[in-house]
Amino acid sequence: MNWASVLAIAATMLLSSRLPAQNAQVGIVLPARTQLASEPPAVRSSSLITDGATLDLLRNGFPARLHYTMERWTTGGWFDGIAAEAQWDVVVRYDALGKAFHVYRVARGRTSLLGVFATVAEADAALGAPFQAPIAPPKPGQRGYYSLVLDIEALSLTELDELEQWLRGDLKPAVRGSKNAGTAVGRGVRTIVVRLLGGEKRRYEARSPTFRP
Amino acid sequence: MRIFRLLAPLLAIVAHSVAAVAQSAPQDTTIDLGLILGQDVSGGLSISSGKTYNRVEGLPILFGPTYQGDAGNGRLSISALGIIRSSDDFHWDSGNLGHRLSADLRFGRLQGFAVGAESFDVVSKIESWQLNEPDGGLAAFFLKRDYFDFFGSHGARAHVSAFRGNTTVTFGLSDVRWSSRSERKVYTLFRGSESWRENPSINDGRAHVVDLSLRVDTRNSVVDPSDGWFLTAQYEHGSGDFETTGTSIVPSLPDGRAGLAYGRSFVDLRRYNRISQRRRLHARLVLGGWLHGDDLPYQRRFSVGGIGTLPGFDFRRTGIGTDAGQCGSEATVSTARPAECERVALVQVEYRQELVSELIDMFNRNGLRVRGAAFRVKPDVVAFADAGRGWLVGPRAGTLRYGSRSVPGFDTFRTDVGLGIDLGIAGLYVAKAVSEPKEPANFFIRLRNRF
Repeated sequence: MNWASVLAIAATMLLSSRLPAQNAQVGIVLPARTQLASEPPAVRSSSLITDGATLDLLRNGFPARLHYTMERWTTGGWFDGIAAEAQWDVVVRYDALGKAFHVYRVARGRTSLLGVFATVAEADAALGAPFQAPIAPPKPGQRGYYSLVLDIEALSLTELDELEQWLRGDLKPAVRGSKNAGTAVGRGVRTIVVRLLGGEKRRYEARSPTFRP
Repeated sequence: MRIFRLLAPLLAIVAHSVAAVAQSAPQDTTIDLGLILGQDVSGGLSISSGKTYNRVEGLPILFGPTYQGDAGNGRLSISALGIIRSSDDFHWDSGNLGHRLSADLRFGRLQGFAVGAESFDVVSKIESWQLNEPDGGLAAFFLKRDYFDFFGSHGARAHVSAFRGNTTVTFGLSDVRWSSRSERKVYTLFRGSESWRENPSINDGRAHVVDLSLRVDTRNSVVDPSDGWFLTAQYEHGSGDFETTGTSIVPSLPDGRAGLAYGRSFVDLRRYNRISQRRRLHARLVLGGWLHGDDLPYQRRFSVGGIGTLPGFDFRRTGIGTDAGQCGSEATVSTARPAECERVALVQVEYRQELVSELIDMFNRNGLRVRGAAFRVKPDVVAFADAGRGWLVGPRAGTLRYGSRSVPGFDTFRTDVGLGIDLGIAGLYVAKAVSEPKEPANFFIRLRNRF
C-alpha cells in the first residue's frame, strides 16, 4: 500500500465533521468493600443515545440495541481467566405516533419496560441509571476484576435497508437531477469508510480495578 | 449501467461492514428481541453481497427468497438465491451468473443435530484461511491487490452435523465440478490502469468429495477475543478425473487427464490469553496438507506469504532461494505463481499491550467524527512473530520436497517479526523478514485483528 493511498483514506475519514458529541460514558461501580463477595457490581452510563447519528436512526424507525457483556476475571496464574459472565440488553424504540421513546431491558429471561419518555434525554437517563449486573460475585479471597463491553447498534439494519437508505438519502436526489451526482458518490464513499470502520456500531469498554474481597 | 458500476463497490463495502457487524453481534441471551419489536423474522425477499470483492467476480450480489420457520421440533431455513456478479459491467454471461440453493433443518438449541442440502454455482477461494474479510476485499477494491486465487465450483452437497455448546462436528458428501476462472474487468478505486494479477489455472474436473470437520469455538468475542480456544480441523477425501493443462500434474489417462484420489487435512488452532487487564498474548498454529493417495489437485493446495500469514514477505514472493512460499518447482508451468505446496505449517504469536493516557481519554471524549459518527480509539501496541513454510511430498529433493513422514527443519522456515499500532478501528503495522535479512520491511493496514 503506498502512502498516497493511506493519506487518501485518512483524508476521507476526516472529511465532514459536525458538532462535538456529548461525553458518552459507561462505568462499573463496585459494591462496598465488605460486600464485594456478596453483591455484584452496578453499571451506570450517560449520553449513550443522545448523539445525532443514533437519534436520527431512532427517529427513522430503527430501534437501538444496547448489548451488555460483563465478565468477571480472576488473576493470579500465568494468564487471567473468565470466572463468570453475564449478558443483557436494553432496547430503545421510538413510537412516531405517540412521539415517545420506549425503553426495555431484557435480563435473566425477563423483559421489563423501564418506561415511556417524551424526550431522548429522559430515555437516556432511564437506561443509564445504576443497574445491578446479573453476575455472580467472587468468593472471599478470590482476586480479580470486572470487565464490561457495551455494543450499541441499530436493529434491522440489513443490507437491503442500507441500500434503501442510501438511495433515499443520497442517490435519489442526484438521479432526479436535484443534487450533484459527484457529491452523492462522494458522500457514498465517505459512508463506506464510516461503515467499514465500524462507525455504525459503537463499542464501549470499562474495567474495574483489581480487588480481593 | 454506469450507476451500477458506481454502486457495486459501495455495496461491497456496505456488505463487508454489515457482515462484520453480523458476525460480531452477540447472541440474544434471553428472549428473541423480535418479540418485543414485532419484527417479521420468517424471511422474505433477500438481497445481499457475497461478502467479497475480487478480480474474478467483482462484487457478487445474491438475491432471492428466503424462509425461516418451525418444522415440527426443528427450525427450517430455506433460501433460493440467484447470483449476479459485477465484473465486466454486469455483463450477462455464464461467468457472471450463478446460484446458491440451500435447505437446512436444525433440531435443538444448545445441543442437537442438523441436516441440510445445497446446490451451488459459485466462485470459491483456494485458500480462504489466509486472510479475513473485509481486509481481502478492500485491498482489491482500493488498491487492486487481490490476495486470493479463485476457481469455479458447481455442484451439490448434503451434510449432517451434531453440535453441543461450542463444538460442532459435520459430515458432508459433495458432487462438484471444479473449473478454472480468469480475472475479468473489475473496478478499483486506485491503480485502475494496472493489470490484475493473473488468476492461475486449476485442475478442472468433476470430483466426489467426502468431508469431515470439527469446530470448537470458546472465544469470548469473535472480533476481538481475549480468552478462549478456536479450532477448525478438517479431513477431505476427493476423487475424480482432472485436466492437467497448465499444472505440473502428470497425465495418467489416455485422454491426457489424470485420475486422482487424495486425502487432505487442515487444522487451524488458536489460543487467546489475557495476561493482565491490559496485556494479551495470542498464538496460532496452522497445519495443512496431503495425507494419502495421489497428488492434490491445485485447487486443494497451500502456500504462505503475504499480509495474512507472513507479512514480512511479499505475497507470492519468489527469487529468494527455495520457494518455501508457493513451492514452485522445476516443473512449474504457470506464470501465475499458484499455490503448489502439498503441505504447509505456520506459527503466529502476537502480544498486545493496551495504551492508556490522558491524551487518549481526551481524544475519546469527542472522538474522531466522520459524517456524524464518532469513533473512539482503543490503541494497542502489537508485537508479533511468524514462522512458516510449505513443501512438497515425495522423494527428498533439497529443501523443497520431503518424505511423507518427514518435516522440514525449522531453519528452513521463513520467519518475520513486526510491530504495529491497532487503534481499534484499524491497525497500521510494519513487518520485517528475519530469515531473509535482505528483504525490505513491509508496511500494511489491517481492519480486523490478524487472527
